[in-house]
Amino acid sequence: MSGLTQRSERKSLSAPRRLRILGHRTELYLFLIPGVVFFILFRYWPLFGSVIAFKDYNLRLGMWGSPWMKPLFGHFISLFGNPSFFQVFRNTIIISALKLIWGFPAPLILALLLNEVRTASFKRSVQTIIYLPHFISWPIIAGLLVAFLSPDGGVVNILRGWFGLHPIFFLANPKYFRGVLVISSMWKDAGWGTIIYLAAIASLDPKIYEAAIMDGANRLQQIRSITIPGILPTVVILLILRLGSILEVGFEQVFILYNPSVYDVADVLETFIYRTGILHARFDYATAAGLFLSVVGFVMILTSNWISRRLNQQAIF
Amino acid sequence: MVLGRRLRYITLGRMLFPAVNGTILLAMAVVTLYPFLYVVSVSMSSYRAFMLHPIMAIPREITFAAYAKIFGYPTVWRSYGVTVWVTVVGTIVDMTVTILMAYPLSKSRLRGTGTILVAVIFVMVFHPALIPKFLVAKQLGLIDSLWALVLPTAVSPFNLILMKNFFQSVPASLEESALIDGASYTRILTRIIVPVSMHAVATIGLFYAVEHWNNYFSAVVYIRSMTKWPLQLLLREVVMQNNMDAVMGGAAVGDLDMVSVVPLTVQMATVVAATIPILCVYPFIQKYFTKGVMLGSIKE
Repeated sequence: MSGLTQRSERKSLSAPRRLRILGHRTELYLFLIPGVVFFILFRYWPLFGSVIAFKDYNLRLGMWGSPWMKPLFGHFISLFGNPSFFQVFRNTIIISALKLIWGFPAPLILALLLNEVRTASFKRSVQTIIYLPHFISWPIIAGLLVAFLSPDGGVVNILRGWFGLHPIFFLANPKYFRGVLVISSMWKDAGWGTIIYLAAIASLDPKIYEAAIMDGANRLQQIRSITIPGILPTVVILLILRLGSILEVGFEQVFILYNPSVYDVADVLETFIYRTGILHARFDYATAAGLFLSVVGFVMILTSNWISRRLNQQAIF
Repeated sequence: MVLGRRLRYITLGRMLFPAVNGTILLAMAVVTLYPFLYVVSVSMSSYRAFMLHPIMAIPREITFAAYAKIFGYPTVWRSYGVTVWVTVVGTIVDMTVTILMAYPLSKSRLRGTGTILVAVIFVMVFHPALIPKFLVAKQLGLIDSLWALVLPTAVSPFNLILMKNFFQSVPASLEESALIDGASYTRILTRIIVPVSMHAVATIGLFYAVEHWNNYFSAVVYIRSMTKWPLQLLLREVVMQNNMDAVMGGAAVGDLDMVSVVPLTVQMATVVAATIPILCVYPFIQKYFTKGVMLGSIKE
């Protein structure tokens, strides 16, 4: 009864208002304009501009005026024929794999440990501290690393001296450089990564824990049978996302830390693109490499998403 | 009997675990904090004290000579100014565009929003590479302009979606009653939606701001003149290339002790100068973040 009257009331309200609501909607579309312009200008235009990977780009003739490359895939052919490209590709995969193996579990383990802390103030203090490096820029962290790892006067090497070990120039030594990348990257982001896992853990039903405790389960058993399976969907989704960006290896970090002595192990796809494109101005060639990077990344995300959907019914798309 | 049960409860595992756990976490905290202590200490110690005690956690022979040195150069002040400008203007631009765009997108029934959302997500997953972005900026005349540090990163798709979700969680009744009272969407957005989502909005704003403050690579790509260098780029020169040419801006004549090697004290002072604002802002981030984001997700 009241529903009917409400509907007729609303109808009579909206009839004279219909024009006004249309006017309102225009306002909403106006709101969208700045954002849409941004995406078109700075995301879609460059995306279409990637077409110069197939052209013989001439700065004067521009994107549309430049002639097509003969053969069309010419840049890609010379790219794959370039031995440095394969070294670069190899470095990218190796560094990314190392960061995945070490860096992915770290926030998870930290989160599990943090969750077991009973003293709220201790837990909060530790959290506040470990979130901090995430907000620190790479130039600053580089400064810290240079100071700590310096072959003379650096804390690490002085400690090595106390144990009778000789100093190591970590940042210029190909054997240790990748380790520096992985460890500093963990220092920066492991703490921040705990947030999402802690949120997932917090969303688990406490009643399950109570039931387990009554059945006599100890802490470890609780973690193994309740917590971990409970947050597994979250872990999987994050792993999918991580695998999707497997070719993105922390460019800002590598770029600021690398130097000619470690090019062999530190040069990655994005630094290669920067050098050939911006420094050597081989725009079309570098765009081909960039297109390769984007396409592979895209395929990776779709693939890992598909795999996960098959395994777990957990997916993003 | 109660005592017996209690005693059985206190097994070795139960006593050991919290202790081990606490120690590990404490170690993590110390490892995280110590570099900061080191940097601040070195920057405030005399060079001689540093040479004698290369490992320190508190300053020795406190002196602000290193700070006086770097702040004596006008280039440092200029870089500070550049970074502050980019951060303030950048965050305002970011927030305006993101909020304006997120609001209509939060209305799923509005025609076209679905398509736009798909377009945004697509470009998030399949993003353009560096060179095309650079060429577009070149064609727009942004090369060597500070606007190149602001415009090409105006909207982060991730933050956009976050904002949209927060707007969606605002009770529809608030909007409806305002619409019935004849309010325009502008008024609704500014007077209702944003204030209600203030925690989320503030958090996202702070994230954008930190992103701008810390960004150095955009400047590497787009900026050509040294006068437009942001602070992080200057820091990179001083610390990584280990030279003060950029800082001294050519006024190297009187400063012989700086020409060959930059003393670590000065490097560390530069590091501190670049980090201080972030450290000051951090408590606010903590406050808004823990209150807003966590509450928001738990409320669901």
